[in-house]
Amino acid sequence: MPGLIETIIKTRETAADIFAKSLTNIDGLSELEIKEKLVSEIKKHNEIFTEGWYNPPPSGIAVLLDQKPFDRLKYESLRKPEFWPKKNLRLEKETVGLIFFSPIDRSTKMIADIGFTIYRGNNEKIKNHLKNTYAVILKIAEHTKVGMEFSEICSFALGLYKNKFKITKWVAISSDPNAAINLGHTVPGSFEKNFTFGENFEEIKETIRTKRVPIIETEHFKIPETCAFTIESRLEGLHNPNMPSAYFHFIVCFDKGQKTILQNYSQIFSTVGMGYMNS
Amino acid sequence: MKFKYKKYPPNFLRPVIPITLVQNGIEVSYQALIDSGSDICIFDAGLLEILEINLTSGERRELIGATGQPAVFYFHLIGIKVGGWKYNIKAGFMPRTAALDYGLVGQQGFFNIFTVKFDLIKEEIELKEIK
Repeated sequence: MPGLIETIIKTRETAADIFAKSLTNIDGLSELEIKEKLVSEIKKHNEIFTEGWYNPPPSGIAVLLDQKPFDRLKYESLRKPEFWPKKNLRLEKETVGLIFFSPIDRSTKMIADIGFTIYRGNNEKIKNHLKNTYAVILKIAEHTKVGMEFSEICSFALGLYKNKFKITKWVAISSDPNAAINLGHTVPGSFEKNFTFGENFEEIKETIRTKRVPIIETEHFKIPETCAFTIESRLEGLHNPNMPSAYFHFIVCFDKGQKTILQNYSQIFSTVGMGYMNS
Repeated sequence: MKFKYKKYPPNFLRPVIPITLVQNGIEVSYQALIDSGSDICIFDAGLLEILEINLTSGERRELIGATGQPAVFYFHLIGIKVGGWKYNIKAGFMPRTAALDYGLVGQQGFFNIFTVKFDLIKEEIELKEIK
């Protein structure tokens, strides 16, 4: 039987595969139609629950499609119904969007969220902004090590973002509403002993929602030798207000001290027409 | 029917229960805070779009919240499922609600249907339908 960290890695690969298979021929589709394509593909994978834990939004899936001036991408919370997938917002050439899914492995209840910003247009500045956002968030993931406090990760990130990016704040997500930065959270059950998730999906979902340790500057949680946590940010260009808020999500896994960073975007970028992100 | 309190950061328990809004053969799963201080039930207007209901076709009203600022909302007749049982209620739908993941169920539309017992120590809410 695979270990918990191994399961997180596998579940993230499954999520990436679902994205790569679903996000083909999506030109002109609405947020809701893209969400339904994802749902159809998710249903082929019995190893994960058919709904994600971050729910609402329905099915634990977010699809946001936006055009200039990209206000929708500055959403306060994906839980608000106005940011759930809509029928009338469609993927066009210059659309910038966000696609996110929050899968749970059925047997272990490990989560392996995945989410990225989609852009297939011709604006080189937007492409560069996405590349820079991806690179800077990845750099934070690379900086993490066993024994490091979550607050230290935040200090490092704030240093990287300073003078370059503006953080699009999440509302009502943090355990500390005054936190200036929220970089992600632990994968519940990935490091705790005798962790219980509950009996049914609602209980499991609720346990995951409430037992995450947030990566905020007041959190002194120290990274143990075996654990997993997400590193994610929504970043706007500090010097160019025309840039959309861009989002990428990684998972950092430590298995007895051995580190793996889960990116899993290469195939997705190729599929959706974002080959520039792989170069 | 019994429900568990939900936990909210940093360390609050709130009587938030799962509900389903039903109209036009469409169902939307959502959540609601049981709020005895609220005269009516209020939900985010974004839910109406999913239920294929035009927000402004409802009865336009205003309410004054804790901040003292008036806010516009629209009343609609709607089905609400609680614990799998459906009830028809009149609920308000408001654009630009706070960034919360739940609506409010209040005196009209909830407390006139259920007797509600809050047990914070057991972290449990019990609903009994008023016959």
